[in-house]
Amino acid sequence: MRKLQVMEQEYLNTLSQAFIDKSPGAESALCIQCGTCSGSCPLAAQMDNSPRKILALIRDGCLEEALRSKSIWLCVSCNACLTRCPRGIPVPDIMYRLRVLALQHQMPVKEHKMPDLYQAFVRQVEKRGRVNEARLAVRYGFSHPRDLPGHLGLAMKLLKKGRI
Amino acid sequence: MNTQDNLKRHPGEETGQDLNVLALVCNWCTYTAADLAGVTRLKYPTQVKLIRFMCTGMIDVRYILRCFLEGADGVFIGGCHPGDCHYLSGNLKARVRIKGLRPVLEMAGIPEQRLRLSWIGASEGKKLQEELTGFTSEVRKLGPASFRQMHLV
Amino acid sequence: MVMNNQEPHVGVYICHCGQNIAGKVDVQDVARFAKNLEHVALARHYQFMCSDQGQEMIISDVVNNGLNRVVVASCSPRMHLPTFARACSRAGLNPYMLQMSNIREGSAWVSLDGKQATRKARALVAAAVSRVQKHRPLTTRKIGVNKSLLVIGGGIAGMQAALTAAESGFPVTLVEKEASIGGQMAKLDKTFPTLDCAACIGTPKMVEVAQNPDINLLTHSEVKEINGFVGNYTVTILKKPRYVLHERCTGCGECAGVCPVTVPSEWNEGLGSRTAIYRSFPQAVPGTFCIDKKDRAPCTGACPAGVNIQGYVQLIGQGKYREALELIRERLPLPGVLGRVCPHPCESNCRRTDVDSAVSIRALKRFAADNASVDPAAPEVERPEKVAVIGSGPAGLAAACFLRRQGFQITIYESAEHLGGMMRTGIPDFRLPPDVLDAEIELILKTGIEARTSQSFGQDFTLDSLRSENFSAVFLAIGAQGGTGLGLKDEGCSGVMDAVGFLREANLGRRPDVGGRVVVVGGGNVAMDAARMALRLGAREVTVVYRRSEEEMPAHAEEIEAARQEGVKFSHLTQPCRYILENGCVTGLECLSTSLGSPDASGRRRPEPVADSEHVYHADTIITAVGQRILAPWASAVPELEWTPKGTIWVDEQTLQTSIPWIFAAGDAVSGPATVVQAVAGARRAAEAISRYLDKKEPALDMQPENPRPEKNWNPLPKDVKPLQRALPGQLEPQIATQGFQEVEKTLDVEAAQLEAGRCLNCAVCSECMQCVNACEREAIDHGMQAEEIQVDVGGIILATGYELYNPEPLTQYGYGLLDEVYTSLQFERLNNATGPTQGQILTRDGRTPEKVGIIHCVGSRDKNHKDYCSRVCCMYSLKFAHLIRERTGAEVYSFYIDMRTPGKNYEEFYNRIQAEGVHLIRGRVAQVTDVPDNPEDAGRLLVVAENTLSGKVLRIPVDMVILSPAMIPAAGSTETARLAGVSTDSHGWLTELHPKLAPVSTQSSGVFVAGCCQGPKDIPDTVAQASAAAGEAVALLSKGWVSTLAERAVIDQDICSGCGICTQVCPYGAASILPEKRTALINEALCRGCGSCSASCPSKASTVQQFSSRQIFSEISGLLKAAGS
Repeated sequence: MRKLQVMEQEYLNTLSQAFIDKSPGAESALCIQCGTCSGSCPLAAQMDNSPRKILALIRDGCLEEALRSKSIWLCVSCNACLTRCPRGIPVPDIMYRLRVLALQHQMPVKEHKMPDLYQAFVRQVEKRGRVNEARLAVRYGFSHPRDLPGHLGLAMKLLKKGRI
Repeated sequence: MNTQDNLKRHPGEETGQDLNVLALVCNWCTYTAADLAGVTRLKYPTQVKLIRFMCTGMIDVRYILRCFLEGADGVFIGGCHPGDCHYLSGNLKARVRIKGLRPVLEMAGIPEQRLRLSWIGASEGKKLQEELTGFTSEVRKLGPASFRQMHLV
Repeated sequence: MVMNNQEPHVGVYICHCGQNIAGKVDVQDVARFAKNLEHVALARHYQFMCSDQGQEMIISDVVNNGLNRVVVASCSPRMHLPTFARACSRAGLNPYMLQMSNIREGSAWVSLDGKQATRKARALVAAAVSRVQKHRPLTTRKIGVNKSLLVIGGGIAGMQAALTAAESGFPVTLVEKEASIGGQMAKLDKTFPTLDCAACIGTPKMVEVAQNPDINLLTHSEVKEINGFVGNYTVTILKKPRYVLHERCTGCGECAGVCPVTVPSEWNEGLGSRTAIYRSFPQAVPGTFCIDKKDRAPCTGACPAGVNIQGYVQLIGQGKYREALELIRERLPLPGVLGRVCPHPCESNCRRTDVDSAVSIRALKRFAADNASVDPAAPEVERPEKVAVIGSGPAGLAAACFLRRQGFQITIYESAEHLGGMMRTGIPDFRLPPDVLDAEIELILKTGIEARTSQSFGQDFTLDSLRSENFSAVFLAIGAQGGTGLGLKDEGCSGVMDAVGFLREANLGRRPDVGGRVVVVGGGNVAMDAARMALRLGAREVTVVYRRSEEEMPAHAEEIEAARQEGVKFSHLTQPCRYILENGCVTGLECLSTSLGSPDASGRRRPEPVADSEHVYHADTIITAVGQRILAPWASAVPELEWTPKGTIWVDEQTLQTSIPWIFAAGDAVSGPATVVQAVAGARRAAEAISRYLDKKEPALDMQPENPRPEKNWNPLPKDVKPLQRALPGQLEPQIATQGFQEVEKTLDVEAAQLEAGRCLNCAVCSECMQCVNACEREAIDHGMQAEEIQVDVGGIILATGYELYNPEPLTQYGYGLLDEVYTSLQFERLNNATGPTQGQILTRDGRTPEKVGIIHCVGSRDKNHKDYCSRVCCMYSLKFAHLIRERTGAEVYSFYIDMRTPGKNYEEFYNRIQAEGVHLIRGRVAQVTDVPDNPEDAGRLLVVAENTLSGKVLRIPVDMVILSPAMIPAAGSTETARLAGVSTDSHGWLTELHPKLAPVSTQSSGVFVAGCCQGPKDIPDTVAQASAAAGEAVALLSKGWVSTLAERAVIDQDICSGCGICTQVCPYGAASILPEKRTALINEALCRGCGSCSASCPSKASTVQQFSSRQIFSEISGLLKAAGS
C-alpha cells in the first residue's frame, strides 16, 4: 500500500477500457465538462484534480493519473455533484470505484492519509464489530504519528464530553 | 461477406429450381433505398424480387403466409426506421404483427430465419444490399422451404 | 371509354431504356415471354417508352387494339408512373389500369449476370401482368375548400403568418388570448444580433395587422373548438369580455388612475404592478383598455343579499365612504343595521383567512354607515301601480325600497305603533340603537313611501279593502313574531315568558321586572339577547340552559362571547323537565342532564336524558327562547292562502307567489326564523318577482339562485403579503355595559378602517366599484359585457402559440424567488425596456445601479433534471445583456456558460464583438448563488460559485445582480390548443411537425400548420421565416379552391364491416369513424392517406386500400413465384 507502482501501458489501457465499459464508469461518456460538480463540491479547494478533471482524465484514458490523485480520497459522498449534474453522472459512484481500484493496484501514497484511516476503521470493525474512537486514533497514529499531536486539543475536548 | 460468391451459379439455378426470396418493402424508405442501390449499381442476388407496398403497416400476415405457401424460401420485410414512418406508426404495427406471426410459422414448419424484418432508411442503399445478400445466404443454407417440396400450390 | 369488366386484354411494353436495361436484360426474350402469358394481347419492346413515341405507341394500342390493361416494364414507378398513367388517360383508359414493373433499378442495374437478370425480369413482368388483371378503374374527387385561414397566436410568428397570408387575398382570422398582440417579442428591449429595438420592428407589424382589411383581429379571445377537416374547418371562438368598448375608448388612462385594485403586472413579469383596468403597454394593439375581472369574490358569493363586498371595501380604502355606502345600499337598504347585527357569512369565506384572519367586513360596513350620508332621491319614473307591503321588518322595508326604486306606489302597513318589525322589538337597543334604526327607516321612506302604523291585517284592513283601494299586488312580510314555550305543564304561570314577548316588552320601553335570578332556556341568538337584557333589567344571576353542548349552539360565537363577558352563566347538556311553582308563581326549573347520542334529522347529535340526574335551577323568571312562530290571526279569513306543514306561508320557489297570485311573501314568514340579511335577500327577489308580475313578464331564470356560486377562479394569493391581524371594533367594558342600554360595540376609527380595507386581497381583481365608469368621459366602460361565442369557417389553420420561460424556482441553488436580486431574462428585459417598471434603467430593487452583474446560461436547459434540450437563444441574448449592461452602467459583467452557441448569420461576429468589450466570459456552469459572501465588505451582495473549467479554478465572485437564462418551454395551454387541431406534441410539449427536415411547418393533420416557438425554441429570424413558410404552404394548399382525394385510399365494404372499430383505433389520421346509425365504419376521403393500417388490421377484411387490394397482392405474389419456377 505504500509502494509506488508503475503500471504497464497495455495493462493500463485494458483497465481504462474496462472502467468505462460499464457503469458507473460508462456514464463518463455523457459528461459535457460543465464544471457544476467542481463548483458544488465542498472539498474542491483541497483537491488536486477537481471532480470534473477526474472525469476528463478517465475519458482520456489517463486512469492512472486519476487513481493517483488525492481527490478521490477527499470525496465524502455528499452527493451535491450528482444532484446538480445536468447529465446525471454518478460522480460519487465513480469516485468510489476509483478508490477500490486504487487500493487494488496499491496506488495511494502515504500523503493521502485517508486510505490509512479507512483501513484502521475497517480493521477495527472486522476485529471487534464496532469502532472505538480512541483505538481508531491510535491505530491511525501508527501510520501517521506526526498527525496525532495536532489533534490532542480536540481529543481532550472529546474526552471531557465523554465522546471518547 | 462476398457478394460475388453469392452470385455464382448455384446448383439448381439452371433448372430454375433455385431459391425464391421475396422482399416486401415500403415505398417511402426501403423501396427508395432499393432504387438508390440500383442507381449506384450495387449488386445483390437475383433470387431477390421486390414487391412494393405503401407501408409495412399495409402488409397483412396473409401476404407473408401466401408467399411461403406459393413457394418462397425466404421473406424479407423492409420498412422505415421506427419514428420515421411516413404514415407515423405503420412500421410499429408491422413489428407487432410479425412478432405474432413467428410462432405460427414455427408451428407450420417454417423456422424464423426464413422471415426477416429489417429497417432500411431511404438513403441506405448499401445497407439494403448487405441485408438482402446476407439474408439470401442464410436462406440458401437452410435450403428450399418445406412447403415448396409439398407442392401445395 | 373502355369497358373494364370485360375479359382483360393486357398490353405489355418492355423498355430498353437505351442500354440501361437492354445492356443487361434480353428485352426481346422478355417480350416473347410476356406474349405467352395469359390474357396478354400484345407485347412490344421499345427503346424509350417514356418518350413521346413510346407513349403514342401505348395510346394507339389501347385505342386500336382494345387494350384494357397496360404493363410497362421499365424504370422505377417512383420515377415514371405519372407519365404512363397520363398516357393511359389520354388514350381513354382509366389511369389506374396500369402496372409498372421495375426491371431497371430492380433487375438490370442490380444484377451481375445477364441471364439471371433476364430471368428475374421475366418474373417481375409476370408479376405485373398477373397483378394488373385485378386492377379496377379508380377515380379521385375534388373537395371544395374555404380559401381563408385561422391563425392562433398573435406574437411575431402569428402576425407574420397572418400578414403573409393576407397578401394573397385570403381573409385571415387572428385569435390572441391576451388583450394585445405582440407576444413575447414586444416585451424585449433590443434584439440580437443587430441590437434593433424590438418595439421599433414589432410595432409596425402590430399596426399593419390591425389595419389590414383582410385580417380580422380578435384579441382577448380563445379558440374553444375545431371541427371539420382540411379545407373545411369550423372553429368556435370565445370572445372574452373586455368590459371596455373598443369603439369608444381613447386610451387616455383616466380609469386606471382611479382604480383602487392593484395586482402584480404579468407584462412586467411580476416586477411592478398594474390596476384591474389596464393596458399592458403603451403601444398595445388594440390600444383599448381591458378589465381583469375574475369570478365574484367569495365574500360576495356568500352574502345572501349579494352585496358587492369587495367593491365597498375598496371604496372605503380609498376614502370614498359615500360611494361605498351607495354601493351597499344598491342591494341592502339597511347598512347601519346590518353593520351591527349581521352574522357575516362573508367573513367565514374570506380568503384572507389563508394568510392570517378574515377581513372585518361587518365592521367596515358599519364604519361606512357611520361616516357617510346619502340622499336617496325619488325614482325618475313614476308608475301607477300600487303595491301594499304588510309588515315593516327588514323584509317589508327592503321590498318597499326596491319596489319604490322602480317607481311603483308603495304603502306599508304595520300592525305595531312603530316601524321596524323584529329590528325594533327583537334586537335589543344595546346592539341596535333605536336612533340608528329610525334614521335608516327614514332614508327608505324619504323616496316617497307611505307608512300606516297601528294597522292590523284582518282588522283594520283586509284583502278586499286593498283591492278596493286599487292595490295591484301585496307583499306579506309579517315575520315570525310569536314565541314558543317548552310545552311543559303550567307554562302559562306567572314568571314564565317566551323570549320574543319578553324582548318586545323590554325594547318598547316597558321594563319588565325579572327578579334576581333568571333562567333562559335555549341556545340561539334570541336566548343570548334575552339573557343580556335580563342582566340590564336587574337580574343578579342569569343562567342559560341548553340541552346540547356549546358547539351545537346556533347562536353566533360573538353573541355567546359577549353574553359570557357580561357574566351570563351557561349550563350545557341540560334539559328542562318541570316548572317548580309556589303559589302559582314560578320559583325554579327542574332539569335533567343529557348526553349526546347519534345525530338526528338536522344532523346534530340528539340529547339523551341521563337517568336520575334531576337538579333544580332556582329562578324568579324563566324565559323560553326555543323557537318562533308566525302569528296570523287573520288566516281563517283568507282560506285560499296555503301554509306549509311547518306553519310558514307557502310560496312558489320560482315566482315567490303565494297560492293567491297577486300576493307574494318572503322573510321569516316564509323561511321560518332567520337573519336580517336573509330577509332582505328574500325581499329583493320578491320585489323582482312582483315587478315582473306587474309587467306581465315571465319570472326570470336568474331569480333562483339569488347569487350564483363562483367557480373559484380568483386572484392568486400574493406571495409577499405581510400578516396583519384583523381590526376588531372596540367594546364597552362589560361592567359599564350591563348598567344600561347603550350600544356595546364601538365603530372603527379611520386609521383602523383604512388599514383593514387594505387587507382585502381583491379576489375578483376588479371590484366593480364603478369608479372607472365615473372617470370615463367617453362612457366606454360596460361592466355588463358578456362573453360571446362565434363560429368561423376556414380552410386552414396556423398554430403560433409561442413560448414562455421555465420557472427557475426548482433550481434552488440559484435562489430565484428567495433572493431578491436574482432575475429571469424576461424580467431583465423589462428592466431594460423604457416602458418597464424602471423606465429602462437597470436598477436593483432598492434603486441602486449594480456595479457587478452575473449572467447564468443554461438554467434548466441541457439538464436531465429539468429540460434536456438546449433553448437555442440564451447564449445570444446573454451576450446581448452583457453588452447592454456594459453600455448603460459600466458594470463588470460575468457571464457563465457551458458552451457558447452562436450559430446564426452574424452571430459569431456578435460574439467576437462582445468578447472585445471586456465582458468576463467564463466557461463553467454555475454551481450555486448564495447571499453569504466570503468577505464582510461584500455584505448584501450575492456570491456566484462556479469552476472556470478552462483554468481549472473554482471562482467565487460577488455580484449585485444575477440574471438567469431559463429554458424556453411551450406557452401554457398550447398542448390543449394543439389537441383541438389534431396536432400532437412531443414529451416537452413542443408541437410535432410532419417531418423534422422536409416538412417543418406542416403537421400530420392536413391543413394545419405550425410556426414559431410552439414547434421548438428558435430566434426571431427563424420564427419569421417559419411563419412566412407556414402561410405560404397554407395558401398553396388552398389556392386552387379544391384539394384532391387520393385514389389509393382505404374504402370499407359496408356489407362486410361489423363495426368493430379497430380501424378507428389504428388510423394515424383519424380518418376512420363509425357511422352512428349504420354502426359500420366509414373512411373520410379527404383525410385518408392510404397507409393501409386499417386494411391490415381489419379482422373481416372489410377495409381495402384501393390499388393495393388483397387480390392484387396475391396475384402479384403468384405471378412472381410461378414465373420463377419456369
